[in-house]
Amino acid sequence: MQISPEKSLLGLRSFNRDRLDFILSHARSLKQLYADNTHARSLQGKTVLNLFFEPSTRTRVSFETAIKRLGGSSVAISMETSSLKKGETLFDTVKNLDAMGFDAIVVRHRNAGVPHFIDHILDVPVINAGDGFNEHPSQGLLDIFTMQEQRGSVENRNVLILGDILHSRVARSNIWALLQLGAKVFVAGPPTLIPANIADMGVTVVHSIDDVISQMDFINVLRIQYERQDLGYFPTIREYRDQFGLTQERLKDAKPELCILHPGPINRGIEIDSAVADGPNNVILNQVTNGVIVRMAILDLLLAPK
Amino acid sequence: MITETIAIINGRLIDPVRGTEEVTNLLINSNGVITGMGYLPDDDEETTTVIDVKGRFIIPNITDSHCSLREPGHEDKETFLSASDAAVTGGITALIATPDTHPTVDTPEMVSFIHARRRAAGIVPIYPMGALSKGINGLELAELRLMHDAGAVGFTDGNSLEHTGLMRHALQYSSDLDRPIIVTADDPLLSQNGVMNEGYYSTILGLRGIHAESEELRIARDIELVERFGGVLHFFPVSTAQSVELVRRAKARGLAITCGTSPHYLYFDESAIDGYPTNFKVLPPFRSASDRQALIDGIKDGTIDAIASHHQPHTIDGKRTDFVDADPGISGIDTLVCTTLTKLVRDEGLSMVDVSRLLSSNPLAIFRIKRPGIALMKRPSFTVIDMKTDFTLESSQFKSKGLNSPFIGRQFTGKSLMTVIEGRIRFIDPSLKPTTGTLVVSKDPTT
Repeated sequence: MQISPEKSLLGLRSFNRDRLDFILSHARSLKQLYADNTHARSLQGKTVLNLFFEPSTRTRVSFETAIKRLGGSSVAISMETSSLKKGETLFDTVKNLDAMGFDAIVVRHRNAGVPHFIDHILDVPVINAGDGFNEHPSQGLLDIFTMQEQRGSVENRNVLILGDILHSRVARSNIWALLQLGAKVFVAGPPTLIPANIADMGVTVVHSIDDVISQMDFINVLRIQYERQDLGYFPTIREYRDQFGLTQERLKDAKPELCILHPGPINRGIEIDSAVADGPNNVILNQVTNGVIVRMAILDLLLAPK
Repeated sequence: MITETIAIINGRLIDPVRGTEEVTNLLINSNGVITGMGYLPDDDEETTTVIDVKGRFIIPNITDSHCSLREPGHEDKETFLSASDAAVTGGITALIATPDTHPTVDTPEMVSFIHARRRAAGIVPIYPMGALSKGINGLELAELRLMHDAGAVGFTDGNSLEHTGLMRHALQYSSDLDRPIIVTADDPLLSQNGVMNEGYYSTILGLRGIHAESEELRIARDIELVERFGGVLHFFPVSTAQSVELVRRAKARGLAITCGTSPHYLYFDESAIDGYPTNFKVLPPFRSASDRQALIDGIKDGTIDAIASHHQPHTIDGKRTDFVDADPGISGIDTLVCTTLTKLVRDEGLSMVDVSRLLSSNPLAIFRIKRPGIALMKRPSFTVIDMKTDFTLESSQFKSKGLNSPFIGRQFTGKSLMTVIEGRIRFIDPSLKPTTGTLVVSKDPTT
């Protein structure tokens, strides 16, 4: 079954339901194999470049782990860049690294569209590990994998994505895939952090989370960055926490089976209280565990000998 | 023998000033002077080369009124010579240059330098604009009056001045010069580091948006300043429906305000950014589909006075990167005429006379430039244009050094077949064969 005709994984926007089902079910079978201590070795002899132009611990280590578990090897580079510093062009950097002969490139960059550019200029598969505010497809897949693991399906479930939607690639990858799979998606946050015309994607915008929290099956809490406060998106962290922080108090009417997700790293006491982050409804560490599995599935589908 | 008197016969001559079109013949003597109009030369006039342009249009004085020519400072991107080649091949007979060079054109000496360089290197007349502030720093006014005396035809910093008080002074101070201040309106505190229009597409592409208000609020401010303190303003390019409406109302109030736009805003909207194509990155950005339609409506009702290329040539490196870091701008001299005619005449049904005004008499009037028309005893500048044949635009056809164009690979009509500047043929398409005699195409700028 040739379900993934594209050479790269750039985003979930282009994924239809069949492709999502295929990759998620592949991840489930890999998880079972792994639990049975059977190791797929489909990346044997292959070397993957982890090219991170933006800091990352979790995603980078998760990809490296996935590559190793599939028998491949990886090289990781962190190159934090500033548009003010004009050095080697992105084109030259990427072409030079590619000339060393990698089998795939995992890339993270602060600019939306960088993985698309790299995919355009190289023949090897490119995996988007987060580009600006655009997409973080492996995170979107692992979030949904975790949701399905907890509740069987996301179809007709209510999912609230909470926080800085404007600057969140996690939100966009979640929205594209959740809508394809039949979930009802709500987004909430300060009006300044809700991007223009987002309702046209098919989501419902809510500004008061207390009105909807009792109906939710899943809440995906986004990290709030302090710099947004400095740029005037909201006045203070105190006010943010009061209006949008996920506190124990706020969850008093929530469904008992509510699952709370967070892509990490968590700002405890800001977007989510420790009592909630560590509480019975959280699946945050399940996400991290599943992240490796889902990334194994992605790499296996893109790189395994056909 | 080589003849130097040419007869261009059966052309559909457009007069944008009088608003007329008539089929006629032009006889141009060896000095480039029109010595006959309307009659056919006798067969026995062996010294006359006859070019039959039956069915083709003749438009005088097509002028690209907003070009960044990069010389001096970025000759890797463009020179007067390469821009001049692009102009004559594309059917343009004069260029108005922005002062955003290195160094900037912000003194009378620099204005004189541009004139001298163009005389030495270029074959197309180049009219320089001077900077509004010294070094385009927005802090101190440049020597507007001295630059005017040296031959600057307008003043611009690109954007209008951030400092409202200084913008007031710029308008007041230049009000009696009767030369426009040209404003590419943007409030940087609103547009922040945006790279495309703010809307559904910026949301789904994860790119920082530039809201239409960042252009409109600045236009509204500057219109109010003109109303209170005088001055002459030309907004270029306008990209939103509300910008057009603001200018429409300002004109109704009788203010000395005009505006222009570029062909690419008539073709593309924000959806073009899907896929992150860097040749579509331009500032102001492509707006919504309804904004695009409002620009066309603004052209039809006369609110938009001029179409210019907003020529911003880049080297390959400026665009061969990701969308966010790519340089904004489009190389447009080569394509100004064909893209404008294709969109407005073929697709939108405007008359050749009306569209000629946008490319010729209106920009000349906005910049108070006097060029001879097509009349007896004048040295005319004009373009012969074919509206019957379609062609596919290839990058190999570009004479500009900048190949950063979203139009490459698309089909157009309105190809320029011959460009005559001040009575000299500067370009002639091989398909336009003279019936008798041999043509001399002048390449030497001194002739």
